[in-house]
Amino acid sequence: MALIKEIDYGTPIRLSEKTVTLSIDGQSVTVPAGTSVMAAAMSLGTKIPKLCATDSLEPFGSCRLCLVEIEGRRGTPASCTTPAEDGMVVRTQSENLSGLRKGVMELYISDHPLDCLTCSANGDCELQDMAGAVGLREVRYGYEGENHVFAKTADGLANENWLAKDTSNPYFTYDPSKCIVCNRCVRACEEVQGTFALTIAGRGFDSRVAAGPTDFLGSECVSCGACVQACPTATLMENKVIEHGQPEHSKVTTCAYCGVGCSFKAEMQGDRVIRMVPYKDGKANEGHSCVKGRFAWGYANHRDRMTKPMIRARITDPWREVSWEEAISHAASEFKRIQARYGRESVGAITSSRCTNEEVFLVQKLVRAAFRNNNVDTCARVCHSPTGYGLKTTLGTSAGTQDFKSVAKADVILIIGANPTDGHPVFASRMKKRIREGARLIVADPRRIDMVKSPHIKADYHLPLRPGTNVALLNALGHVVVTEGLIDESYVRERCDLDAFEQWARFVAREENSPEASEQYTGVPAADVRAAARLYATGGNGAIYYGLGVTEHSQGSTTVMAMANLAMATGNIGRDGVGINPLRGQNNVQGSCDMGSFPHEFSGYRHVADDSTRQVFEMMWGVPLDPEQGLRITNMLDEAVDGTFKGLYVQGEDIAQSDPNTKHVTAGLAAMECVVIQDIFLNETAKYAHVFLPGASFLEKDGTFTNAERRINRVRQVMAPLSGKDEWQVTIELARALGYEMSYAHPGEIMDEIARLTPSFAGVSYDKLEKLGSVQWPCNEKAPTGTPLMHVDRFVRGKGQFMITEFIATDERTGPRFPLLLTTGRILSQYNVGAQTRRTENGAWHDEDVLEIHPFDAESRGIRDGDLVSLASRSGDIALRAEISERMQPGVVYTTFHHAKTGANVITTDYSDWATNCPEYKVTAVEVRRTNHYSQWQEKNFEEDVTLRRIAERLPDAAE
Amino acid sequence: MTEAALTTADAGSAGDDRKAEHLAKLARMAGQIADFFKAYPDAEAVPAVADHINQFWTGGMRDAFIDAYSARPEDLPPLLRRALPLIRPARGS
Repeated sequence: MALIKEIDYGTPIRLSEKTVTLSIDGQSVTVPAGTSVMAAAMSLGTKIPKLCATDSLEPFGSCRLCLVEIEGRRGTPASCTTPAEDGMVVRTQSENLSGLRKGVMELYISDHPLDCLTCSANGDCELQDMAGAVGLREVRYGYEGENHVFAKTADGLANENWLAKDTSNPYFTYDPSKCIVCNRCVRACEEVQGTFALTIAGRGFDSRVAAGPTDFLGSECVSCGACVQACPTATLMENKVIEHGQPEHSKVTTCAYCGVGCSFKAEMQGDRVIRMVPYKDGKANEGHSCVKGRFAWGYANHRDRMTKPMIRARITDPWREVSWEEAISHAASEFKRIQARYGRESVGAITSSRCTNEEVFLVQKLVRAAFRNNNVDTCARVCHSPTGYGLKTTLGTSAGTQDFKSVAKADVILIIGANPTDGHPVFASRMKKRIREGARLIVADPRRIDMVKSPHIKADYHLPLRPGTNVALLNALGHVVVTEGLIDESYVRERCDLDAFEQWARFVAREENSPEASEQYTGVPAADVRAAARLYATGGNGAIYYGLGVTEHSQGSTTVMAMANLAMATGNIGRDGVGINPLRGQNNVQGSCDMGSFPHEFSGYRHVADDSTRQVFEMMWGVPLDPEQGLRITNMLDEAVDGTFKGLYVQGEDIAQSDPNTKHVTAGLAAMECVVIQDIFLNETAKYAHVFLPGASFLEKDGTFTNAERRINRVRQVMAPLSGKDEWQVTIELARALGYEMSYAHPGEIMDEIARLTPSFAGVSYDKLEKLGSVQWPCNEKAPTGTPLMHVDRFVRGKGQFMITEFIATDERTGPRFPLLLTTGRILSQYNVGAQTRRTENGAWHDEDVLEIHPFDAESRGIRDGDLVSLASRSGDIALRAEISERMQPGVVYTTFHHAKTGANVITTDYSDWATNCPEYKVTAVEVRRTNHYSQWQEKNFEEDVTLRRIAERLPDAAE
Repeated sequence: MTEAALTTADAGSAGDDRKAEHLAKLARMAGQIADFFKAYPDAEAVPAVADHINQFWTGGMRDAFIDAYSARPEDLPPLLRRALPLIRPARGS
């Protein structure tokens, strides 16, 4: 196994219908028009020396190393900035060029340290490579002159040109003495990431890379790592490489954070990860990354990792470490006992959206075939279940319509209830790039998120609606489209159900749905709504991107359908650059839904009551299956509190932290007789568990994840499971102990079974994934290489179905006791319940949840920035620090739920989406006041962090 | 079920409260479903409400709901009342 090195063409690959043919060093080559001479040469395998060029960035032409000679042209043009032309005759080597390049290198090296042997880039330094390539043998200028290399001058005085290292960022170091000012980092920050945090300060010899007027950590830098990756020297270098040296082999795998599903090269020394480098051929990210995937993987080896199975009789007992056999047979006998006593329906499982498709498939199979009921649900229940319901009802399939790349063809981008720069940063970079190229932007969000305005990005319209009024806003947009004659009539006539369309059009045209009438609910000026609707309907390709701000409401499913109505009415589904796209929260939330994790569906979204589907599963699995749908997570907890649901197998989920109304969740868990947790840490839910089965991190797994664009990506094991067992193996052993035989030698065999049982996965195999890198489902006979765009000629369901989407205000209302609305979400550096990111250096950016509050609301309550405040709702109260922020609108406060000790979900309520029971996280009536103590729940929780986590014969650890 | 009923009965009135709370929650969920479909004409809305419940609620939830409200349908909003007879009892019950 070797280190995977992608080819660097030097300048971006151009797409063009037209090709040009030229001669380079006597060889003829044909390339797409617009390709640089440098990239054309590289396509022949000819490496023209270069320093400032790399194919992730537009050509810059500053290093003067890539000079070539072109017949009929004067001088020696830079090959990176010269487009290839028909009939061009290029020479990349000559006496003249060689002399020029040597001269350039000589100047570079005269102001560069000669500590190559002890340099962290040793073995991976382009400057060193180029010195070798041009045959540099001496530096006639010496090294004593004015320089940026030495802290002191020859006479012992301080060197004013010298700058110390910047080690403020926990993951990488900036060493200015090694900088050749090639601008690659600055350009990566602008072009790839789109943050514009870096610049070149000074001019001429004083030119320095700078993170604005401050250090890296204090700057706008989002630590995506693009600059580090672009740096050709050791100027920007991962601290792990500085510490351990260069990696020696690598494997391509898939990030286990958000639903973007970035491909990474895990670069290793033995079984130690040295760094994760975004993989250029990964279709989801095309070589880009964010701070989480790139740097925040250290949790995999954190000392909190649990690696031994444990059991206990009562949750107040200390845990007892036992053998795998004992833990599994204990769990199985408990489930059997409970089913015998309380009935077949009294147990169930929750599958994880962080685990692989194969692992998830086995857990739902265990429930259906070994528990013999359908009580299986997944955390998609609490995030994107309305997406599944809404898109299936209107379009016929429970997933987004586009690939990520499609955004590059969008003309108008409509973002609703999503904060991509924080939640889906790598996709946000693509989106920002398109906006910088001129795409128009509409943002519907209660908060002034970064997409509303940030460097070189400005929304044409920000519609700052009141939380809970999405449907009113979307109906108002639909109203304008219908009443102002902006319908794409031929599209609707050809592709949609006309009766349903007319029913919808009559409904949405009613006066109560006009922007003027709905302003009283949404708070958004009617004129802005009208202008935004006109822009979306008439501005060319209109693409909708949305997140949990849409789904996590009482009317989450209604909003999804309202978006589908709007997109169908304007003809914006079924080609590149348009569509409706959920930005999914967790790495494999799409996959866990696809794999049959919902209590009413087998894999591929087929209802359990459907006899023909069920018979196929019964035949393959050799047992009769229950035709009745099972319990959803919320129903399981309700029935647990009610006393009828008694046993739960939780795969890699932390419902005690992530699910709403914590007190209700923990009451449900505490009422159960057997809770089995399979996880890598003793999470919050594990406080209520009786059996702990140690899990594996993504670095320890073989399998697949499916991202938000339906792309199935391979996850490859780079180190052995710390617990000694693969997670899928544990599920198999548990099934066997329950009396149901499962047998697979490798996750690839589980995928083969998935393919046999699931029409949309029929063409998926590990062999194919190996060959193609990834595929987007549906992948079957009709689409053997997968389906990047859905609904191209017709909707999956046949005719597009318009649905009537009446606005019904949530029952959660503000009033004198709870006058403010709380909405919750996430930030860039932390992920979900924080179990992973809190165990990394990402705390440098966000080490506690804070309450964002508008200055007006703060002032009227006497709250100053940094004050401890009490946040109370009808469900409960917590205390946290206030951060005064004009990103909020008056009357709305915001917090994150990343830190267990805060307990943000103590505040959220039981209210949920009408169709799917997806909880209403985004609207909670609250009051905020100053306080000087933590809440009763928090105090109790601090105590239980210790009392419910004791392990026999071990000293209690400090609570995390 | 009888076992479960016994254990909750131990808790006395607390168990009754929990049962009532559970029923209230089911009624609320059903009410939300009816609220969505009430924009449709009755001929479409009534079967749609029942169908939604038949597709997504467990047999146990449906039985509990039918048991509680068959005797007092007047406690339900009109659309839900009309949909009640179309809600399917659990298989085998």
